Amino acid sequence: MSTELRLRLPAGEWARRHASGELDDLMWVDVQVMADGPAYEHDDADPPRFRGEALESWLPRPLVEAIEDAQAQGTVTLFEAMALLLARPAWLVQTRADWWRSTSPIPQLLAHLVEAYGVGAEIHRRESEALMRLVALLPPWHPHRGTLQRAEQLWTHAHGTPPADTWTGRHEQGAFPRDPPVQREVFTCRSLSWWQVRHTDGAQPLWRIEGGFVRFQPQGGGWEVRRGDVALAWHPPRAPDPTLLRLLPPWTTLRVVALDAEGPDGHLEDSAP
Amino acid sequence: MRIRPPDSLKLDQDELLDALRERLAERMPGWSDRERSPTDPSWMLVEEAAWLVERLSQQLDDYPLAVLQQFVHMLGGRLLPARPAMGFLVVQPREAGLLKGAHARPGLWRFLSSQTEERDIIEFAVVEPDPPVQPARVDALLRTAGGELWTALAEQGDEPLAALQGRLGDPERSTAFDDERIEFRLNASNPESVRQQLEQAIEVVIGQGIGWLRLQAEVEDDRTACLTAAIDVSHAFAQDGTSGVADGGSLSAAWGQLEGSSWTPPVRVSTHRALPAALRGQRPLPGKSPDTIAIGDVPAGLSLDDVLEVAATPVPAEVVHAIWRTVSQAETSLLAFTPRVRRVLGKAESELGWLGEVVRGGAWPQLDRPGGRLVVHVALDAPGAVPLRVALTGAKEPVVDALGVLASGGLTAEPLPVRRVWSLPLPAPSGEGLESVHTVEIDVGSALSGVVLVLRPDVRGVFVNPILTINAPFVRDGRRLKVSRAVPETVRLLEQDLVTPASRARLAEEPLSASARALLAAMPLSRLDVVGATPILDFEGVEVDGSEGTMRLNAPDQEGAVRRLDPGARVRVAWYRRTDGAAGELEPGALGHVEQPPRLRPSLLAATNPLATWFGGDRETDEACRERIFGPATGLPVMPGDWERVLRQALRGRAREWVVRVWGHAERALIDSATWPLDLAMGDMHSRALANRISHAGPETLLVVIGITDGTLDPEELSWATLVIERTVERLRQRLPVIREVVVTRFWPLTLVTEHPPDLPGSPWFDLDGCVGELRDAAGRRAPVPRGRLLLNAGVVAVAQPLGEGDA
Repeated sequence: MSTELRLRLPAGEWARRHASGELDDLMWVDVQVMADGPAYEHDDADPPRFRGEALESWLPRPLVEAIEDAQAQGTVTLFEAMALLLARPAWLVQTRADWWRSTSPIPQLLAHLVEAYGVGAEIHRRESEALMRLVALLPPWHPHRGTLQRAEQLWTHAHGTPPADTWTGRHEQGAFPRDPPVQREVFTCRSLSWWQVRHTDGAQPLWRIEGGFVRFQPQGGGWEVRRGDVALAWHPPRAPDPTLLRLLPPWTTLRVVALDAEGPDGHLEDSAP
Repeated sequence: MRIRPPDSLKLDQDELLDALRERLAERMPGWSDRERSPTDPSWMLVEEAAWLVERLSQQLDDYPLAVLQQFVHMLGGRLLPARPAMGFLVVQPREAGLLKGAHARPGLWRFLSSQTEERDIIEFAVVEPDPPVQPARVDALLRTAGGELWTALAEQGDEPLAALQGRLGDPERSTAFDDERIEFRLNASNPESVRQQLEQAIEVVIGQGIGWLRLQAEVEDDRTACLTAAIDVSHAFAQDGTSGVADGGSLSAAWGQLEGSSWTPPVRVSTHRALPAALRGQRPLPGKSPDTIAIGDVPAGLSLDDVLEVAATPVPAEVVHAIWRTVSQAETSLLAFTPRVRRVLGKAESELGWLGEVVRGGAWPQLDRPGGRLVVHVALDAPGAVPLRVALTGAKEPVVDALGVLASGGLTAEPLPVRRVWSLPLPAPSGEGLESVHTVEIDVGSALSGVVLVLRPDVRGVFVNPILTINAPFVRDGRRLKVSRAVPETVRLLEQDLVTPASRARLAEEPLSASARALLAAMPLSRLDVVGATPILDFEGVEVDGSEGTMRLNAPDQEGAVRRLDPGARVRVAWYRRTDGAAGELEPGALGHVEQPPRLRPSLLAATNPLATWFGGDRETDEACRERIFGPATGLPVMPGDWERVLRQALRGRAREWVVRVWGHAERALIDSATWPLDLAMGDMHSRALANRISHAGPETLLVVIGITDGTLDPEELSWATLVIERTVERLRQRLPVIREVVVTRFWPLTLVTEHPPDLPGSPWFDLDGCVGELRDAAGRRAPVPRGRLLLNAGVVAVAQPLGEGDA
C-alpha cells in the first residue's frame, strides 16, 4: 500500500481497516462540522479519522454555524451523535461494490464465496487476510484446480508460507523424482493392478528395511510416479499436514517417501541394505 | 462442509449506542452520567435515530440476496415444481377384475387419508394401467431351514387389511407334521384275514426294534383293510418297559431301521427345562445295544412325549416305500398286495390342507432347498380370470416359484407362470432404510383354490393386490375457454402445485426402478379438449407453470413445441393433476379410505398402504433456486469440495442443511484417520462394515459422509441419499472413469468436552490436530480424542467445558 495518501481511495482504506477489525468502535468517525465540507474523506491521523456523509450540507446554514460554535466550545451536540450513529451504515453502503471482492470490508462474507468454489475452512480457517488473498486468486486458479502446482500455489496464498512438507508429482519431477528420492518410498498395501500399471519393464524390487520402514524401490526407481500420484517427503515422527489434500482430486495416490528427521537429503543413519 | 450462513450485517442499536456513549465520553468526561435521564429530549432523539439505523441496516443483509433474486428473475429462473410422493396400496375387492382406466380417467377409484388436525386429506391415484385385483388373502407364511418347517407369520395386531399382508415374524417350529400318518389300503375279499396278517407283521416289526414306528391295522369296510403308520418317538421308549413317564436316569429307545433304508426319525433332545441344560437340543447318543439310542439323566416323572423333539419335516417318500417293504417282508403273504398309499397330515390338514397337497404331490423338495425358502400360501377366495398380484419386500431379486393348489385337490402339473410388474424402493417397516418392493403377477385360473409361493429366504413381507399409487389426484376443472387472440394467453388453473411434465421429470431423477419410471412416463397428466380438433394431452404444446398453477395457450412447452390455437378456438379444460408435495409422504396405514362410484366394478371394500409413501417434495424455495442457478459452473468435479457440491445438488432440497463430506483416498488411507465410534467394539454392525470397506477401498472409491449436525439421519433418508449418490457417481463415471465406486455412510455429530476449547474455524470440524479432551455423541458414547488427526465419519459440532469430576 502506498504511503502517499493521495494515492489511496478513502473507501478502500476504510474497507481495509474495517476488514482488519481496526474500526470496531466509533473512534474513527470524524464528526467535525464543516460547512460545505467534503463527504467520505480520510484523514491518516493516529488514530485515523474517516468523514462519512456530509450531513451538515442538509442543514440550514445558521444551524451549522451554531453547531460549529458549540464544538469550538467543547460542547457535545445532537448532530455529533447522529453523525456517529450513521457513520458505519453509510460507509458500508459506500463500499458495497467491494463486498464480494478481495478488498471486501467484511472478509468473513468471502468464506461463502471461497467455499462455494471448493476451498474449505481447512484452508482459509476463516482468517480475513487469507480469505481476501484467496478471492484474488480464485479466478485464475479455478480452471487449473486439481494440479499439485496450483494446489500448492493456493495453499501458499492462503497461509502466506509454502507447505512445510515437500510434495512432488510427475509434472514437476518426472516419473522418478529425486527430491524426495523415490527410491526411499515406503512399501504400502495396494491392489495388484496398482502395482502393475506403475511397474517399469525389468524392474525388480529391492526389499530392505530402512529407518523402520520396508522399502522396495531399486536404485533409480522401478515403480514410476504416474499422473495422479503425489510423492510426499515425510520426516517421521512429525505428522504431515493433510490440508493440501483437500485441493487435490480424491483419487490422488500418496507415495510416501520417509526421510530422516534431519533434512531432506534422506541420509539415514540406521539404513540397513 | 456446509457453508455457514453469512454473519448478519444488521447493526444493533444497543451496541451502537454503547459505542456512541464511549466516543462522546471521550469528548466530555462525566457527560455520559447525566444523559441517563429518560426525559432528556436529545437523548430520546438519539435513541430514536439508533432504532432507525438498526431498522434500515437490515437492508445491508437483504441487498446481496435481492440482487441475486433480481438476476434470477431476469434470467427467467423457474422454481422446480413439487414432486409427488409414491407408494403402494393393498386393496380388498369384492370380486376379481381389473381397475380399468383408473390411471387415465378421473372419477373412478380414489384413495384418501383421514383428515387430522395437522394434515388435510391426502389423495392418491393409480399410476399403472388396469391393475388386476381379486379376493385373496395370505393364509400361511412358513419357512424352511435345515430341512425343517417353521411358522413365521408375524402377529398382525389390529392392522387394517391384515389378511392381505404376510410379514415375517420370529420363526417357531411348525407342528404341521406332528400327526402325519401314512395309510396303506389293501383291497381284499376277506379284509379281516388281511388285518390279521397285518397284525402278525406288526408284531414282527416291533420285534425288529423299530420302536419309533407306530403301526395299526384295521378293517375299513368289507373290501378294504388299512394299515396306518406314524412316527411316534415316545412309542420307542415303551418297548423299553417304560410307559408314559420317565422313571429317572437313562432312557433307551428302540431305534431300528426299516428294510432297505437307513433312515430314522431326525430327533433332538427337547428343550424342556426339566432336562439337563447340556442335553437340550443335542442329538441322542447310540445306546449300548444295537439299534437303540440312549438319553442320560432324564429326571423322573417327565412325560416321554417331552423327551425328544422330532424335526418338523414330512416323512420322505422313500421311507413310505420302506415301511411297506418292511411290513410285507415281515409277513410274506402281504407281498401279493399292492396297497393304495395316502399321506395325511392329521390335525393340521384342516388348516394346512395345501401343505398336505404339497406333500402328497411330491413337491416338498421344491420347498426345502439349500439355504431355506419362505413358503407362502395365498388362498383365492373367489378366483377370477385375472392374474394374482403379489408384492414382496426385503428381497433384492424377486425370484418366485408358484405352485397352484387345485380346488379339486392336488397341485397343478406345472409351476404357474410368473412375471415381474414393477418395483419401487420404499421405507422398510423395520426402520432400516429403504428397501425394494417387487411386484409380480401370477397367472391363476378359476380352478385354483390357492397358490403356494416359494420365495427366497430374504423376503420379509408378502402383500396381496398391490397397486402402484402416486399423490397426483385428478382435478376435474370443466371450464370452457374461447381463444381471443393468436398470442400467448394465460389461464389460471384451479390449483397450485400441478403435476406437469417437469414435475414428472423431477420425480424421474429419484432412484426409482426402470419399471416404475416407465409407468410414470406412461401416466396421463392432463387433458384439454379442443372443439373440432384433437385434444391436448399432457400439456403438450402448452406452457404450464406447475408451481404457480397457470397455463399459457399459444406458448411453447418445455420442449419448444407449440399447439397453435386460432382466435375463436374453444377449449375445455377437462382435467389435470395436482400434488401435496412433501405432505404426501404418509406413514403406513394412513391411506385407509376408498371412494368409488356405486356401480363401478370391481368394487373395492378397503385399502391401506402397508409401507410409508416416499419421494414427495415441495416446490423449490426462492433460496434454493438462487443457489441452483448461481452455483459455480465447474463442469466435472475435481477436488473433494467439487464432489461435495455436485452431490449436494443431486440431493436437492431434502439435504439442504445436511453435512456432505467427501474424503479422497490419500486422506483416509495414508493420513492418520479414525472412524466413529473409535472403539469398534462400541459400534454396531454398520461401523465395523464401514471400517472394513474403507480399509479395502482404493483410489477409485469415494467416501461420502452425510448427516445432520443435531441428531442422526433417519435410516430412510440415509438409504435414499445413498441411492441418489450412487446414481450420481455412476452417471459421472461415464465422463470420469477414475472414480468407479462410492461408500456412503452416516455422519456422527460430536461434542468435544475439553478444558482447553480450541478455536475451530468451521462446524463440523474433522481435523483434531491439537485438540485434547473427550468426544461424545448423542448416543452417549465417549472416547478420548484420538491420536489420528482426521475423523472421517464424525465431526465436532460443539465444544463444552467439563462439568464435574466425571466429565474431566
